[in-house]
Amino acid sequence: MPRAMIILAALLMASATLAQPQLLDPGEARELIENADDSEYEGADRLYLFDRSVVEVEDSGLSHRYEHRLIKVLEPGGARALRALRFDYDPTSNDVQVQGVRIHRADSTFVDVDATALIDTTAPASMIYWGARMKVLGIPALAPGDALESMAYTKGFLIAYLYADDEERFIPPMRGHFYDVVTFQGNQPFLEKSYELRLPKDKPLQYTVYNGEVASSLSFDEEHFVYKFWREDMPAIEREPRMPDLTDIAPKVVMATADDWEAKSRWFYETNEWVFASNEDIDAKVREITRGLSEDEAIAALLHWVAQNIRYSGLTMGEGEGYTIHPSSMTFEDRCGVCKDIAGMLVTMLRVAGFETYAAMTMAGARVEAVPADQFNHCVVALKKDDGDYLMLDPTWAPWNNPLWSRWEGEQHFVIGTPWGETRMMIPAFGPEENQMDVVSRAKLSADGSLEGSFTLTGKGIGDGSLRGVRANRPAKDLRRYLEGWMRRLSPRAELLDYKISDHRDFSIDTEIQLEYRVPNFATDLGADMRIISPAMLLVAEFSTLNRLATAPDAEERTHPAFLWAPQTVVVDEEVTLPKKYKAETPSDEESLGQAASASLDWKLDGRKLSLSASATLGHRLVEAKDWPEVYKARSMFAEGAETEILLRGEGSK
Amino acid sequence: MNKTLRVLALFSLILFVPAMASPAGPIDEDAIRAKIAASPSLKNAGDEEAIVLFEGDYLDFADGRTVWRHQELIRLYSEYAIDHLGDPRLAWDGSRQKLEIHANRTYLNDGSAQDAPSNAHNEVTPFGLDLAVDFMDIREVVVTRVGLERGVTIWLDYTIFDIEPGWLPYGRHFFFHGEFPVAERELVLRGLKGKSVNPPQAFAALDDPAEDGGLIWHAENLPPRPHDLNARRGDQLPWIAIFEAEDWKTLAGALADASSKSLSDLGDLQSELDALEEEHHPLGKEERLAMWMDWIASRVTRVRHGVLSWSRAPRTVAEVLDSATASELERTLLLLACMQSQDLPADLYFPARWRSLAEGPVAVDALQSPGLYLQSRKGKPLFIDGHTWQRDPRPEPRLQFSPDDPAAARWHKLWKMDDRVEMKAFWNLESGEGKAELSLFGPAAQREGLEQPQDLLSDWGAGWSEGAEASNVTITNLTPAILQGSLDIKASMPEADDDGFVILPLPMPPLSPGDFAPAGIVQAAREIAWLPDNALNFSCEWTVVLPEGWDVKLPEPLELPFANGSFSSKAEQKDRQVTFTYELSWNEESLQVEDWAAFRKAWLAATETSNQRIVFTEMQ
Repeated sequence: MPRAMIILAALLMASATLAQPQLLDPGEARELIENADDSEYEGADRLYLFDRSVVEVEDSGLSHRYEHRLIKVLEPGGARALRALRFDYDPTSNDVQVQGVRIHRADSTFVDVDATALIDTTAPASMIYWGARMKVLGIPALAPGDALESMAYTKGFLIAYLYADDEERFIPPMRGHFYDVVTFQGNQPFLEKSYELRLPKDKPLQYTVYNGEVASSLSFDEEHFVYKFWREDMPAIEREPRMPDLTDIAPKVVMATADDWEAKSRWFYETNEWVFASNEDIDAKVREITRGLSEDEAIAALLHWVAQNIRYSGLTMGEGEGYTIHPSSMTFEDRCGVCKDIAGMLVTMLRVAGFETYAAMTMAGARVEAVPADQFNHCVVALKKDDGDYLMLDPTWAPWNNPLWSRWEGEQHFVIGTPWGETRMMIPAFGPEENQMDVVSRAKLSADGSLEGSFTLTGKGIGDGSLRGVRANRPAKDLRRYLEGWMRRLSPRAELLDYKISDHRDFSIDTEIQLEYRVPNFATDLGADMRIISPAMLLVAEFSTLNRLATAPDAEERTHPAFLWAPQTVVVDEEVTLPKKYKAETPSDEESLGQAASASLDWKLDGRKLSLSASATLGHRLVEAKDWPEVYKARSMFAEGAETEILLRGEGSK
Repeated sequence: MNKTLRVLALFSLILFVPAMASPAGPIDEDAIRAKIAASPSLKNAGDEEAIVLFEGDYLDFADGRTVWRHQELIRLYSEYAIDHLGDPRLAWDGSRQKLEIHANRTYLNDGSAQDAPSNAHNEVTPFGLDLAVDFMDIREVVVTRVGLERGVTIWLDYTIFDIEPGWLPYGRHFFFHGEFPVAERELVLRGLKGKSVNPPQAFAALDDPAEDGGLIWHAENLPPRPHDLNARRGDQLPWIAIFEAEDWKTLAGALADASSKSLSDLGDLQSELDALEEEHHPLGKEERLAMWMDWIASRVTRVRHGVLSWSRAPRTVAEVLDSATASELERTLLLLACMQSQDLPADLYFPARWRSLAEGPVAVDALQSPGLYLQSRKGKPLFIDGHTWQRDPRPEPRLQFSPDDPAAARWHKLWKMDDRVEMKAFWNLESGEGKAELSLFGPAAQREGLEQPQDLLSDWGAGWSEGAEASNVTITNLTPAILQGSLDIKASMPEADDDGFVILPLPMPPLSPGDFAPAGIVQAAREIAWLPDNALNFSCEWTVVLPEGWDVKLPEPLELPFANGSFSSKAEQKDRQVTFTYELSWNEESLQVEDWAAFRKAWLAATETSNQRIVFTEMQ
């Protein structure tokens, strides 16, 4: 029987027995292990022979999830990776029970792991401290050829939080509804992955398959619709630098019982509206910040106050944590929170200042598909303008950046929580010019080959953030030393003579940095002649802080799209005054034009002034694999500008 | 000026040891308010990021247990300081300690105080320990500071209590200098000994009148630690060691006892080793050693966390194998068990973190991870580093003993191993014939990796010019840290570029001067002396024969001495034969701040010369 039929048959049998899987009969497991053809998965240290999930949803939305896996160890690294099994949970919304773990040894024996040895403890955490826990079971040492079978049962919701009577806490916050996003490719290869969902018949499911194929079926019994999805023989995803989020490239099923985004929007509004109550202290602070400002100035001032004063550190508020925003009075007093709390603080302060504002859900760094399943990892602010449009504000990504909405977050989906319900919308794409980095270079070369000059760097959008961060992200006393490191790009001998940086706390201007430097023996001595390289190109061509294109991986081809977060144009305007009696042989001009990326270098000689007008543009934040050659070509061409030697013919030259 | 006096001179302006009659702390609310009132306001703070107004450590030791109270009061002036001090983590070993936080409070700019709520203290499992079930009672609590804005002052007061005695005699170290300036620093010991180190006179202890045998250290107005400290900070800054045992042999005895227990249950080790032997058929001791090291690296995952490095006694070998996890000490003992299975003797050794520790106070946490010391077939010393898992001797002084005879434990002096690179090369540009003799010695050579010496030299020869090929590669001496050999090279002269120049980078050895770059060389000035790990002697000589009808522009000769060494280079031409010589050397003496500029100038010239491209032109 073909494997697909076997999987389907297994799923049908599982559904007929109310979806509670059992550990395999050892003989059956042995057969699977021995018959598994792992030769196709060279390089993998373990292989999932199967990874089966069965989920049953009650009327309330409460879900029961059974996960059954059989993993064969191929290499010592796989054995080490399976030295313990970790099951994450949050006691406020779900619980995990380990139902059985069995080791099938290569010599055909098997050992049941004592599940009473399970350790229930707090999970590692950084920046978000909501009391997440984990259950960890140590596994007696495995070796290649062994296989590990595990079964776990999870009751409740994975990312929602609700304190209430016992069972109530497991019910999802959007009561009666269910959603999930299931990927069918990951970091380990599998022979079979299946997902079965049993829903009450009055809860129709909408779903779509993205990024490839996933087999599916729909059946029903008296009480349930039974949805099944599966895929087989899947290699591990091939990793490349700067890949998009896994959910944007791996085959996946996005499913939800919610009617539409408007329903989700209304739920989000109703759940959180109470948290935006102000108090006297907040009112007074808003008055202090906005006194004498125009409306636009007040919006910017409040955004930056929140961004700079509510730091990112997430404490738990207990009931409702995770999907409920902290009351603004709490955030104002704590002066800390995660994105939702920071956004909530701004919503409240803008409302105090008289603006109609709402909180909104978004997904930073990945798509939100059309199916109204929760696909969010971030929270922002929507200000309703007089014309009915929204002005989107993100205080979490605004620290040390002057845009009201971070230029790192273009083409990002969001759903605003309003009483009437909003659909999914998207931030428009930003143009590379909105993140422009201007590099003005003026330098004078002496006859002895030394160079003295200045750079003036001005950044917009992410360019502003990069330059502002130069000062903001380090102690003042370290600034000179740090900028000396920049000058080393010109030469190890480069000396930073002076520097100026605009006030990093002034968000009304784009940040500007001025650097004055000197480089003894900058030119290569060729006797009567000299050679130099453009100082500006030495500084920026491969410097990712100033040039986004330099973050593009240096590879001619790609399998996956490249996610570079933000487009940018770098514009170089350079004049080098040559010593008397020398004449430059200007290099040939270069140009590479494309939608995804472009670059140009245009040299001119006017008397003793050698000029370079150059630019490098990364056109989009996401570059499809087919467009990658454009990026590679532009990147390489611009980078070569830092290697192009310009011959200066001296008077006595042969 | 000798080194001790130099360090004293460096700190003479900043150290202040008042004649304290009694400790200032633990301080109370009145003292906190007074210190805040006396500190610079936000407006007057200038470029300061933060000032530690007070930091105190109070250790009471009795019956093998320590009660350690820590207090810190820090005024924050910048967002940088807020970001860096907003969520400190406190770690303890839950299997034998408990933590009690007495206060986590913010003194606001309006004069009021805000206590952190209970949800601001969050216990977490340390990163990296989530799959190490035997280590999960190593705990951390994240202490979130609330109400932070520029100008506020944060106060933290906590105690870590030992419930059970440790498995080793108590010992640890304290630095008084931190990232931010410190207005007042205090350390008070009861029931423990303590000693100021590097130099011993840096901080003087006073007897505590309130406690017989008690000791007090009190310092004021300490500047921030210099930015250019390196891993040898214990040789660059003064520090204080506190300890229970007077004699390192006591510590060695405890380590040996624990090792013996660890080795008392080997589980299935022998059967696994038998399978390895059958699979690999190692020839001799060194191949077997390499086989065991590879096997251990693939068999167990190394577990690291600062608290457990000396808090936990090693588990048995059987437990280590069963859990597939090991601390660095356990991993070392597992290797020792492998060696004992073949009756191969080895000593345990523990390098000092800093050379200033040598034979000093018994502060166990001033030791690095252990290693094994044994002798090769030819009687040469072999070091297996339990941290890097390489045959990699640490230069630092080391406490070494046989596990069977800890009473014979003794300190061994600095393992002096200088870096040495020697090259002599000849290249006839007309015929393309070349040859070279190379010698690489020392730690940098070892880091480079000399496992494939033939390939290393062949690849190097092939890099002389495009299409170059190496032949007759002969290795005359090879150890993990030494490679000596010779080779012949066929390499044609590069073609002239569009402007008529042939620009030839002279072949540098596989280790170039850049491989010895001192940390912080980018800086025009230093705040603290540079301490070379070891001496360097780098010398090269190239002889190049020009083709008929070609000329060369000879580089200017350079002779640049500096305080602890020199750089020189020159080129001499005789007919068509040009000889370039290049010599860079320094000794292990520290280079003082005032000597940095001369050194840096020589260093830059040395790197520039090593990258130098020789320009040839065809004569008209």
